[in-house]
Amino acid sequence: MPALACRLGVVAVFGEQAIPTVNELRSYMRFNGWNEQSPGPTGALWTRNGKRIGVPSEPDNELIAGVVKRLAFAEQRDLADVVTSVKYLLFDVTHLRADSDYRYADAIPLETGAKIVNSARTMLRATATTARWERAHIGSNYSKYGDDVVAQALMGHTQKGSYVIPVLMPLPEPEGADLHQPALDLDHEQVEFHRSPSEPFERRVIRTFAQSMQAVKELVVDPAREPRADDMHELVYRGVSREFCYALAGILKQRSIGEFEASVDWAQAVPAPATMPRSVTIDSEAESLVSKAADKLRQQKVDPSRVFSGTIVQLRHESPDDPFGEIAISTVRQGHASEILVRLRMPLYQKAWDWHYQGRAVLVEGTVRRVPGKPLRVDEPFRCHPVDEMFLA
Amino acid sequence: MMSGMTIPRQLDPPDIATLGANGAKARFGVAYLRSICSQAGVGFTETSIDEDVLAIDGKIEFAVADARIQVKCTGKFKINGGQTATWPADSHWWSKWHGCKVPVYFVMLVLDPDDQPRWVQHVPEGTLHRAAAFWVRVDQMSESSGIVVPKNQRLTADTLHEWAADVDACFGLQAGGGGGVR
Repeated sequence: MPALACRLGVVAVFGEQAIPTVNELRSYMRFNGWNEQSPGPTGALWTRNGKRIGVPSEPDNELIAGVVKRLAFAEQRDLADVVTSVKYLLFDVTHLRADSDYRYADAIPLETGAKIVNSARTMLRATATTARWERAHIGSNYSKYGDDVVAQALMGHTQKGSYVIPVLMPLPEPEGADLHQPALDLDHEQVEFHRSPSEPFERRVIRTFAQSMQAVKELVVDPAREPRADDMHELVYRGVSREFCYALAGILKQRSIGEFEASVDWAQAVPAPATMPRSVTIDSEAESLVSKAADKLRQQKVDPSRVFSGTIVQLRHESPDDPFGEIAISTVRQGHASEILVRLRMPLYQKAWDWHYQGRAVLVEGTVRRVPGKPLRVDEPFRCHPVDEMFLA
Repeated sequence: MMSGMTIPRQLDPPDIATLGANGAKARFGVAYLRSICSQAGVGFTETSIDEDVLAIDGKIEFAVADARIQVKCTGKFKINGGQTATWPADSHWWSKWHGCKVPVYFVMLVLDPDDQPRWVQHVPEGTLHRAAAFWVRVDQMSESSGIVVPKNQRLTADTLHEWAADVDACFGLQAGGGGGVR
């Protein structure tokens, strides 16, 4: 067993973090390849690569602390990191950091704190609506389904350092094992068919939140000029709405805030977008640009009927001679969960494999064909690329 | 910790001690147990540290889970003499032990002779501890006025293998390691 430092760690870690529950531990271990054996009177033995850990069947803090310690030893990781991984296995955690120039230790003005929490909630609420149906201006037409998902979000304890508020979004436990199988044909030129699970809507909301922050940063803040109509379209396609921008500007407007950052720790149990920036920081000086974008979004007419985004859930290439492959995008379009087939020329189809491996959502623009009794499809997409790549005309 | 510090009055000056007689004995008991655990390559953690009590609560850290230990160090018995040694147990000890979901062992370290300067002797071949530890499992023992420790259960590094098997059994693994897999 590890030495004194580790032992002392148990006290410190569990002094500051709530001890995981038995169910959290079991989910974490199952997800990480531990195998449960048939139980005895106290609990069951879990095994992996010759290691054995006894996990109690009833809540018992002493025994649970012992399990965490043994997991940390088996994984060669810090105890605190293991506790975090166990507790947040099924949570996307968005850390909202306000870098305050207010120099009182560990504090920000109450007004500012209240504004951050309220505005962050509005941003998340707007995102949950646009994740159902992209639009420039929500007004009072918030999605009931989206609101229900936002109602499940939790706020964690604030963290020290700059003022950090963690927002926790619980995700449903994935059904069964990941269907992701290695492709037999590395070039993806031969016959193949592959399916993987669709993205849970809760994840779609947080991904949309993260990509909205990224889009505002790259299309509004970084260019440092009056936002153009084209940019407005791109913002909306990625889930940005007037309400999102208005709430963000409200945070940046706070006198004591120097910059605002959102960073996401994706739940380990659900494959995460690998290339999306983990963290987006916006300087408070960008407040007027973000406000202008909000105003423009109010006036902007954007028709998102030809554009949709989502994760790739199927890849198919049925004949070696076929110069086209076909992907299926799992999306929510105008309030309805759906899958849309997209036909791609081989070079782009091969790229789609990479995007799929990286867990990247893609954005497709094209005419969606509706044939009764058949899946929706786009035969000739005008564009198809990862949603985290901004398409600048 | 400092609150338990008493300075023995009758030792020759300069007096370096910070533990009372009971405290010194308790620490010796823990140190002895630690040395046996170390020999077996098994971790030991104290769960409460009080320098002036005779009973020490601790955990032996096996690969699968911890076993619980109560250590007593005493000079009231002889190492060789009698079949058993009996120690009085508080009734709240029994309820604590019976509620425990992993094995609990009572370890009695007998100091013989009970003379602090002679506990450790530095003989030419090595270091001689004038002590021996005996053990009994108490979580499954029915409550009685005293804990009866059989003198034929001497604590050695091999004992820890026996205890580890007891811990495994709590989690469905039978002796020999073959059972329990589904």
